[in-house]
Amino acid sequence: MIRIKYISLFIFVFIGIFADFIANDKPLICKNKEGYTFPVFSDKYRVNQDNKCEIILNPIIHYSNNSIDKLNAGSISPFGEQNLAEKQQRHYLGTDLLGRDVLAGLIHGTTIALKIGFSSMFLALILGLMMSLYPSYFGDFEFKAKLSSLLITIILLFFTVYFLYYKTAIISILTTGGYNFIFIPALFLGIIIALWFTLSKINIFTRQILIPLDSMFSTVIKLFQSLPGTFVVLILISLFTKPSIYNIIIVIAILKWPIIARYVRAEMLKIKQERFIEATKALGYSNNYIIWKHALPHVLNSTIVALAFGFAGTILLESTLSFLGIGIPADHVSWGSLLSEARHDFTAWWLAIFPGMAIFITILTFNSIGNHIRSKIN
Amino acid sequence: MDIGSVVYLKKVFVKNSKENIIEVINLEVELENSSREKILKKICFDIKNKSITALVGKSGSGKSLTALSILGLIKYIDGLNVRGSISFEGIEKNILEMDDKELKDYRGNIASMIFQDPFTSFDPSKSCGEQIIEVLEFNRVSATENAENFILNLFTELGIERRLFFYYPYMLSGGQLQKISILATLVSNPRLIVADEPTTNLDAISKKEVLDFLLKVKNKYGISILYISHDLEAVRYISDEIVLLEAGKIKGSYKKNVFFEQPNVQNEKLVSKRESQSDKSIIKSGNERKLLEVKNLTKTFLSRGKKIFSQNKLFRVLDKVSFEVMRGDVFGIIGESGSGKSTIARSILDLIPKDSGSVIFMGKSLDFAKANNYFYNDVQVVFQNPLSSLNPSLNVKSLLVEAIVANKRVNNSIESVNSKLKWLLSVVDLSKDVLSKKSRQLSGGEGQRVSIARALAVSPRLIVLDESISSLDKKMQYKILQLLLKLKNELNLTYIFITHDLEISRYFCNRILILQKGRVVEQGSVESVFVRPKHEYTKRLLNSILVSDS
Repeated sequence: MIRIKYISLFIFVFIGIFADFIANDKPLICKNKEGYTFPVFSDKYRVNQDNKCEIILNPIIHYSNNSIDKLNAGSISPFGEQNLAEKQQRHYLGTDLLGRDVLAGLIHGTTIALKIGFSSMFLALILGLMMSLYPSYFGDFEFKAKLSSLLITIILLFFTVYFLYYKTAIISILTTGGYNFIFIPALFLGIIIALWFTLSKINIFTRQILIPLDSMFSTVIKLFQSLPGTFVVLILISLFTKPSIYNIIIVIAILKWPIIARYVRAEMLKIKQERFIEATKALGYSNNYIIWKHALPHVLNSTIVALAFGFAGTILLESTLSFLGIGIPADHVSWGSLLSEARHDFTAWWLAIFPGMAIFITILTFNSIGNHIRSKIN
Repeated sequence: MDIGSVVYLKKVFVKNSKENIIEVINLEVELENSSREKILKKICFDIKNKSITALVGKSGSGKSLTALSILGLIKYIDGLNVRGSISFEGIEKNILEMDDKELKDYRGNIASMIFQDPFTSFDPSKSCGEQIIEVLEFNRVSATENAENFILNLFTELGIERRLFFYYPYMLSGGQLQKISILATLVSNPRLIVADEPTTNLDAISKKEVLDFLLKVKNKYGISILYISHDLEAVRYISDEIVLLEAGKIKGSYKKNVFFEQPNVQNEKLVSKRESQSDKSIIKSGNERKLLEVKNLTKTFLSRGKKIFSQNKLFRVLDKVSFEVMRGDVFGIIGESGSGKSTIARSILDLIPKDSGSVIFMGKSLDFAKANNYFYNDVQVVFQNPLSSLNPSLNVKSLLVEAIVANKRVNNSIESVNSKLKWLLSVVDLSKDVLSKKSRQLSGGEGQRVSIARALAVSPRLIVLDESISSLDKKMQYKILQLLLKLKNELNLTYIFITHDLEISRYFCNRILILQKGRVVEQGSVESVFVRPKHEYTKRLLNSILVSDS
């Protein structure tokens, strides 16, 4: 049983990476006068045009995700009669309303799932680590900062938010002409450095202040976790003018990082009690060194579980969004968008069953891998 | 008052009672799987009537299985083949062949058991008294109306405070709760109590109290006790007969006096007087200059309220602790668990912020000493458990190299690091193949040697030994102490030795400080404290050293 999930993970990753070579309407290798060419890599190659080359090797599936087979349009069943030029060009899993091959869609959907899954979880991991690694290590009672640096940080934060909110402000500064695009930021920087120096000379501002880092950041985490997920996604997506995969990745990462952050925090609270952390501190090493060299490997070890479960959740969320039609752009295909085709024709069972099974098997795989890792760690 | 008279169910005592209450004949336990490994190999021994028999052996020698078979509980463990016979005086049947109902009667009224950790054997949601009454009802012993009075009488009779009857288990200390669990076994009027390591988790004072309590129970009611332990001191104090178990075989059963006169037992004892005398003379030649001075050290922790709406309270762990450590000292800090010993260690190293007071190292206050970056090269610490104080994901070599590189006084080239690594290994008597191991693969002694090597890597002047040898067995403790003494003389080290073990501190330290609930109770040279203790608590602590009367 253990083997099955890792085999299916391997198949998933393999198909995701090599989708273009498995299902494509361009041949893999051609031969013409100049020698061998590889049309898979070129955008210029057009199907159905009279190409002068001789096809040596075709991909297994002769269709790409958006290649339309007009002869077989209108949801042809996998077992139904198909109008085919060659026997190999059969639509093994049927076609949709426009005549697109379902199997090719599934294979290219794997790429999208892989892309979105990995990159959004990676982004979520980085966000989660940023929000919880240092705060949970220092806790509420150990992080002290000078009042002056605290003030400067607050001012900088304020300006960052201000300029981000009024994008136009930055643009107007940079485009007023002359050397303003150097002069104004330099002035700004100068003011801040001057402020820093003056503040650090005044006695009142050199006082050390205890900052309850952990409480502050865990409040933020709780806040994000209590937001209603789907609602936030709808709002965030409506903010973007153009649909793209990267938007989806960012939105999912924003939704998923609190889970990672909580895992990291819980693990760090445990690790920092360990004696070997104290022993390293007693050797005179800095907190930075201890966090990166000694604590982070342990923290990441158990965060892998959260990543595996998060991966499954990500794929599900992306499918949901694509099903609703607000996910990926129209020229891409994902399992969710394939599934939404089934809404047009209820009798076309192959449009619902196959993408559904793909989603189901992938999520099952990642959940059981997560379970397996968890039982290994504990 | 004899409990037998109050309690109904008087057993039919056989009048001409034989000498032995339990006779174990050819007890054999083997695993039922294909390996057929024998855990107990034809064990034969007796438990004498009205006496305390100690079953001594290392962990894994089959002590607990023997205990379980005597109580007939071994039947319920899966995957074991049991052969042999155990006969109880006055009962015809072999205990191993009894059916469930007979066993229930046997365990309820004739034999009972005390476990190692009393906190797990009590239900935390009921008061102690209720649970004892439950035992009484379960054994159909007496009417419930009188039950409370009866048990309260038993409390007074055995010298336990009556108010403990109404307390919940978490409110009591380990020692008190263990006494109550002994008392709970008494209400069913047993003739044999099997005590499975009852004092292992307790500190010195409550250990003595529990052992005294067991002796009292034995003398008062004539109950036989099978005392299972690996603690020779306790065995020497309490037992009449000793059965030695090694790897599933009986190595012999002895009278107490005979057992402790054997040469190999003597070796395991830590303090043989001649040695301690000679070693002390070396320690004594301490230079009279101050190395470390702690003044009015105070530390409070925030303890969360246990109930939902109760407020957090400040809990004072250290209360104005002051002491001085001279160059070349071995300064002992002694206290029970929870007395703030480790907090002192961590405050000295500035691993936790202190509330008030000052630590002065080599004439400089701690903040100042830390500023020049050499502080952590001068002061080092060795913690109790090597498993937790060495990072489990790194191997020994990278741990030691990390420590060597931390030394800021010297330039670290690759050659110098390698030669230092070799020197460290030779100094703590470790072979080279340790380097590639991870902390999990090390034995306790090896792990502690690696910890010591890591502390030595930065060539410190002062090493804080925070219960460094407590988790080791006696033989290894002795070896590590010898190593520490050798290192101290070779490298001119000063030790702060934090422990709860009085005997070791008497052997190892030249000045000691006794700590109770965060306050310094007494401090001075070892002789003055051990011979003429002034404070009440010190006297109690010293009394808890188990010196057998014979």
